[in-house]
Amino acid sequence: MSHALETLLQDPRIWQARRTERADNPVHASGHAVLDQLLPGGGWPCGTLTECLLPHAGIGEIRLLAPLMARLTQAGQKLFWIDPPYAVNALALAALDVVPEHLVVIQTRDTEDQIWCWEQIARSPASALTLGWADRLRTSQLRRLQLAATHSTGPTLLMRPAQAMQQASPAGLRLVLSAQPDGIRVEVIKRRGGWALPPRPITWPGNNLSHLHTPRPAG
Amino acid sequence: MHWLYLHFPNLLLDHLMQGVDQPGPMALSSGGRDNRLVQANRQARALGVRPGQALNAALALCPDLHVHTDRPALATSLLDGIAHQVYTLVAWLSLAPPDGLLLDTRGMARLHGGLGHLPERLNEALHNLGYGLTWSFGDTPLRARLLAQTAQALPHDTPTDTLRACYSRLPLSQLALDSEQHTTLQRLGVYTLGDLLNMPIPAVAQRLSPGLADYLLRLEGRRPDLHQAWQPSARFRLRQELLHECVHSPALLFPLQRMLQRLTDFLRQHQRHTDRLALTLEHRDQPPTRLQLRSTQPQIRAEDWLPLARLRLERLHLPAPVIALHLQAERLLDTQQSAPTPDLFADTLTGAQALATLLDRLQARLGDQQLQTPFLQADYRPERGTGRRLPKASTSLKSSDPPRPVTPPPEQPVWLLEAPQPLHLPANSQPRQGPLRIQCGWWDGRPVQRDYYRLTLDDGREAWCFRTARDGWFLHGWFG
Repeated sequence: MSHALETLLQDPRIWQARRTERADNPVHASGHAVLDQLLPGGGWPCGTLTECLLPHAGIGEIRLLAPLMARLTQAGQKLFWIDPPYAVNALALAALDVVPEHLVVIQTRDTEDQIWCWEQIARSPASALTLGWADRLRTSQLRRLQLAATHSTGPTLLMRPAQAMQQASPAGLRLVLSAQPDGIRVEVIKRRGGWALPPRPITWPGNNLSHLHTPRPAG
Repeated sequence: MHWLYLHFPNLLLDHLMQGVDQPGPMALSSGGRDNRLVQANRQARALGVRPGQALNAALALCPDLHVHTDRPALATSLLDGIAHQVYTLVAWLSLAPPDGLLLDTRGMARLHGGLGHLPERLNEALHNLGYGLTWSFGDTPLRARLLAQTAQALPHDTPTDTLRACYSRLPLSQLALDSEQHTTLQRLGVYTLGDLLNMPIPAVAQRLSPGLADYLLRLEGRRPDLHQAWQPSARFRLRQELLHECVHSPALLFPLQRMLQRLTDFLRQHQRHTDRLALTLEHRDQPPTRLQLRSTQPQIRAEDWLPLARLRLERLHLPAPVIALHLQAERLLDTQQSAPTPDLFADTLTGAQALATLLDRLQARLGDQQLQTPFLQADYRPERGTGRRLPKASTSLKSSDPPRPVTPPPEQPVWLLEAPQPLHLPANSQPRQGPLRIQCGWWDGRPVQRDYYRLTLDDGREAWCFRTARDGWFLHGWFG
C-alpha cells in the first residue's frame, strides 16, 4: 500500500468496514434473543440515539422494551418517558415486571421544551433509560437529540411515526417496528458498521393465547 | 458595662440601594408638611446634601437626587432581619426602632473569649447585609445608645470617668429636644449634656418637662429602663423593593440572589430546611404574580435555589413591570427528617443527588404538573388503578408504597385513553382474549360493569375494548 493511501486511512473521517465489529458503546441486552442478534453489539446501545419508527402506538413497542425496563427498575434505576401518546397504566407495567414507581412521565408543551428536556435528562447520570415520542422533528432538532444522547449513560430511544422513514436522521440506530400477532416485527434500516437488515419477527415468550376462552361477542 | 448598642445611621437608604448596581445620590425625607431630609447616602453627601436640610434646598444642590419617603414599618422589618443575624452571637436583644438594636452582653464573655472581640464579630456577621453600622458599649441602655449614635465606639472595659466625659460633652442637639426646650436651655446657659445633668432633676421636671427628667433618670441609671426582649420569628418572610421598575424578568435575579442568601442564613439558624418557596412579584396597578419554586429534595443553599429561579423566570412573561419582590418559605422541615447528608468524599454527583437536581430543573422549567410518576392503587377500575404523583428523588421504595400484587394481574394494556371512547365494532371482529368482567365501585357512586375484550384491529393494533349492558362498545386502551 502506498504511503499516501496509508495516510488517508488514518484520517478519522474515513470509515473502514472491518473495524465495525467492535462495539463503541456499552449495550444493554434487550431480553429477546432474536433482537439481540439484530442489534449491533448485541443489545440496546447506550450513548447514541435509537430511533424506532412505528405506524401507530399499540403494536407492542413497550413490550419490546419491557425486559430491559424491568431489569433497570428492579435495580432501583429511573426511567424517563417524554410525551407518551396515552396515559400510562401502572398495573400493566407491573405485570411486565416494571416497577412503575421508578418511572417519571413528562409532558411538555412544545418541541423546544421537549428537546430541552432531552438534553437535561441525557446529561444527567440519573436516567437509566430515556424514551421519548415525537411526531414532527426537523433534522436540526434530531441532530440536537443525537448530540444529547452521546452524553447519556443509558439507552436513549425515540418513537416516531413511520412516515419519518424518508427523512434523513443522524440517529445511530434506526428500527422500523410493525405489527404482528403475538409479537412484533423489527427491521433495522440503519446501524453503525453494517448494512440494513431485513425484517425479523419477534414473538413474546409464553404468550400463547389459544388456550384461553375466546368466545365471539354478540353485538 | 454590658449594654451594647448598634446604630444603623442609613438603614433604609442602604436597603434601598441594594436593588441597584451603581447607586446615584439618594436621600430619605421625613414626608409630611415639614419635609426635611432624614438620611443621605455618601454620593449625596459629597454634593453637599445633609440630613436635616429642607427637601427644596437639597434638590437645589443636587437636581438628580433620588428622594424616598421614610417608612417606619419597613425600617422595623429590616431591624428584625438584622436581629436574626445578631441572635446567633448574643442571646438577649431588643429592637430600638427606627434604626438601632440594643444588646445585653451579660454572660456572653465566655462564648466570645472576652467581650473585646464581640463588636468585630458582629461587624463580620452583618457585613453581608450591607448596612453601615456604628456601635458603642455603655453602662445603661440610653448611654450606649447616645454613644453609638455619635459613633464613639467605646469598648466594654472603658473606665466610668472616661465614659462620663465622653457623653457629657455631647451637644444637646443629640437629645431630640423640641425647639422651645432647646431655646430655654440655651437661655439658661446649658449647651452640653453634662451641663444638663448638673441641673437638679426636679428643676428639669418643673422648668422643662417631666418627660425629659424621666429620660435623664433613665440615662443615669437611677430609674429602671425596660426593654422588650426580641424573639426570632418562626417563619421566613422577606420583601425587597426595587428602585427601578423591572421589565425583564431575568433582571430580578440580582435582588433575588441576596434574598435567597438571607433565606439560607435563616434556615441555618433555625436548623430547618425548606423544599418550597413562594415568590411574589408585585406590580403597580395589577394583581401580583405568584410563583412557586419547588425542590424535590430539601435544599438549604441559595446557590441551589438560584438556578431553579432562573429557569422559572426565564419562561415568565411579566404582565406589568415589577416594583417589589416578596419571598416566603412555604414549609419548614426539620433537619433530622430530611436531607441526606451529601457524601463528603464524592466529587461527582451521586445518584440520588443527581436525580434530585434533574427533577428540580425539569420542574422549574415545565411546571409541577408536567412531571408525574405512576403508582399502583388498589382499585379494579382501570381508570382508577393508576395513581399519579410528583416524582420523588429517592431511589429506593418506601414501605408506605403499596405492596406488589402477589398473583399476576389479568393482562391489561400499557396505554389507557383518558376517557373510554365509543367504538363501532366491525361485524367480523374476533376477540383474542376475554371477557374479563370488572364490576365494582357501587360503594363510591361510580359503579362500573364492563366486559373487557382484547381485539386485534385490521391495522395490527391490539385494542382493549369493553361492552356495557346498556351503551354498547367502548375503546379503552392499546396494548403497547
